[in-house]
Amino acid sequence: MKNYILKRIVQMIPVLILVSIFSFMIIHLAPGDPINMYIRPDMTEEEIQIIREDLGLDGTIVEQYVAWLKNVLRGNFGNSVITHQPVADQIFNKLPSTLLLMGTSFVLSIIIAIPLGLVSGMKKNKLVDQVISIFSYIGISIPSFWFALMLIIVFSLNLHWFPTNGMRTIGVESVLDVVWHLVLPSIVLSIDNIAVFTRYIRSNTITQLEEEYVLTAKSKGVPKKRIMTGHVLKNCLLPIITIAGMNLASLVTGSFIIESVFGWPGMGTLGMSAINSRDYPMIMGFTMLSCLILIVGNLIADLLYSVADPRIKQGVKR
Amino acid sequence: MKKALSMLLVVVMVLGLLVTGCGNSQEENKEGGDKVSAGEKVEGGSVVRAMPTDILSLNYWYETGDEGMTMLRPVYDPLFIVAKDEVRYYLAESYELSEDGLEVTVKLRDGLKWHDGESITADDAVWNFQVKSIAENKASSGTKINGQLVTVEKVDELTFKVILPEVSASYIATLGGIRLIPKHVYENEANIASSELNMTQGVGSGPYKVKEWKQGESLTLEKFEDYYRESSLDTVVFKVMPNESAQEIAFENGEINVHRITTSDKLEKYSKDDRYEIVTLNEGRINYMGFNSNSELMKDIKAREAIATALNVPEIVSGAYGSEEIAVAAKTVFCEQNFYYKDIDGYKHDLEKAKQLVKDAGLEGKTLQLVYNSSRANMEDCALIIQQQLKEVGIEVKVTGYETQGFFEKFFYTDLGDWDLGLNGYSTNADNQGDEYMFSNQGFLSKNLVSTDEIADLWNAGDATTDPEKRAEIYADIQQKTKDAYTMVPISDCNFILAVDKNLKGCDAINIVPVFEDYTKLYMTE
Repeated sequence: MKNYILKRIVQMIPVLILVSIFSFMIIHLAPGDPINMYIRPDMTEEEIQIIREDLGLDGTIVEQYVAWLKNVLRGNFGNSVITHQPVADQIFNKLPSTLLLMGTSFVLSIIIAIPLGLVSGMKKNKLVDQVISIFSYIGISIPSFWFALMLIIVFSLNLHWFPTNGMRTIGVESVLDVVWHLVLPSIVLSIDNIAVFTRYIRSNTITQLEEEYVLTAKSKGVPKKRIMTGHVLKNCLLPIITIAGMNLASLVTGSFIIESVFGWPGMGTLGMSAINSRDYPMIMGFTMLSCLILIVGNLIADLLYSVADPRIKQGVKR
Repeated sequence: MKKALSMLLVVVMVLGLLVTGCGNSQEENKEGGDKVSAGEKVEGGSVVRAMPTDILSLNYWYETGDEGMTMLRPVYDPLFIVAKDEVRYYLAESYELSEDGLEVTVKLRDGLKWHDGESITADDAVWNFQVKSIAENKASSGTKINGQLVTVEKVDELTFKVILPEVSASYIATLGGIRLIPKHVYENEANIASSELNMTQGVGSGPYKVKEWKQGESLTLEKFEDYYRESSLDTVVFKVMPNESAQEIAFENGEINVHRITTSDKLEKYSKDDRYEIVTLNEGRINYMGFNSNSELMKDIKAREAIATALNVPEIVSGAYGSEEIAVAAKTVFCEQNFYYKDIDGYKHDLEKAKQLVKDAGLEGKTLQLVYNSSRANMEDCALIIQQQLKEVGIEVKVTGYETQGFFEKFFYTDLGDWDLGLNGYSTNADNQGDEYMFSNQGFLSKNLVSTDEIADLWNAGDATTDPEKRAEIYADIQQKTKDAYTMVPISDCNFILAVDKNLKGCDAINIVPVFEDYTKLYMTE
């Protein structure tokens, strides 16, 4: 197992380097230049060049990339060319609010999707299954920004149950206030996950219920509830581990659209403003963090998979 | 399957009911369910505004966008504002221009305080000019005239003198708009641009001081008790809300007090609602269609004339903005709020003449590339109407929108000639020599836009004299020559329209952008 983890970690290095090269190239290909934020009509070319050098934006794209990489290898992601503050500090300042939002919605999704998926699978093609399936399809197809606006109109504007935006009421510092602000965005973010997870669990439940071990348990008179909770559930949840691993990156990088609609001060809004202002160091920091978390998430998912399913562990040994 | 379909129907009905419910509720408001009548002035209260982006730091110098400057304007007072018919003094008590036009003596008000209680003196002003002129500090505006530095001397504790390298009539307005930062806070910083103090201090000179800045969330300002004038509101709050629809919902929910309107249907909606008042301010902005001088087709003046004659500008403005209250058709490079605006006729729309000109210029059947800033309100509508109008004279137009950074890169900073027509706008509501950089063949902003040497000379001459009569003549000439050379087609002259909470008053005390220049004018009513 140790060798396997080591091998996977070594494999991460070329992936990260390739992603950094592609990201660096792509953001430089986009029209726009952060230097434009500082240019004033009365500036001379010399003045502009001084600012360019000061921001580390002089030299060819290769030179700029090498300089960036050297800094990163020293653990320095550089300073934002817009705010002049360290990229790492700004990212880690925003991380808690995004983790809170995305984590809550993820947990909510799992808690709701597991029973729905199981019931739907057990009652295949019955009314309950069809109702859940319809809701799943709606959840998958509904545009999240539209759903967000609908929830705001109904529950904030008309019913006044929840605030329309933000993470807290200005001047109020309480956990309950944050929870109150968290309700609508986390519901919106959960809907899609609930729908997808439910479909996965339903499909797995149907497959598992047809397995021989279920038949054996049934013939031995094991109560249905025990079959479901003790045997089927564990097997049904296996694909969720993979999806969770894939979702780990979004837990950290947040949702650009939903954070924007709800004015949630997280990584999504930070990323959006970095892209709009062509803040290259910030975009790179953001992209590399997402990439790292995605790779680590997959690794964790694979390891958990092998813990949950010994057959995979044997495969790893071989 | 039938059951499934019936369930789907139920879901759709539920959603429909919810949406209908929203509509009914709004209708009730319009009919007066929530009618509020404004009463007597009350001291205190708070105004909350929504902003699409946050400030970059607490230092006004480094705000590059309108939003950031708007948020920090109550914190940092300018020296003075030169308006069309008056000078509004803030930190400065007066200014005096020498007869030769080469020295400006500025006297600060006595007893002014920074937000940390220290006195504001001429030493602060002199130090500000010194550090602004260092390129690495990236805040050089107001320190140069035609590339040459101004020099600043202290006269006494409250007076300083700015010596100009050459006469520049428009420099007075630039000088007045400078926001000072406190010397005692920043003087030990090696580089002001990268100073951590920018993120933590925010010691300003305006009527409101920074109470709390939650990055990405909100900026809360509170009344500065030692300000030299009285303010009525206790707090001014800016909430960061990137999504425009969410801003509107928050406004209707009473969470914010001011909301900008850019379309006629919204104007109609809020005009009918008794909870709000419509405030119309002069934006002093001209939106125009520029011709790219690096496009082979647009180099020909006949081609430009053909396009200018084919366009029906009033129709474009009416279609894109929908209401004359939001924008009227522009006729010239200046808006009415410009000091030297002269009412001249715009290009005359003549379809038959345009068709002939199109043939003569060899534009028939050609496809032109039109670029516009998709982040700006009403630009896309203008682009589409222009596309339609040019089609009528046999010109195909390919319309492409770019977000702000991408658009400016294409429009100003690269000269590949890969677009022919471009929609942009600029503020021209004062003694605005800044327009010179776009339309005079000088500097990098004029890389693409059409101009002539004669027009460039006129811009220089206009700034090189302080005689108002001479300047008026020169700028009138610029307007006419710019029109004759078909350098651009002025499209719209815009207003800045706000829907405001009916209890909030004073929003139009200064009837021009920025919103708001002076927060001491705002107050609440019962």
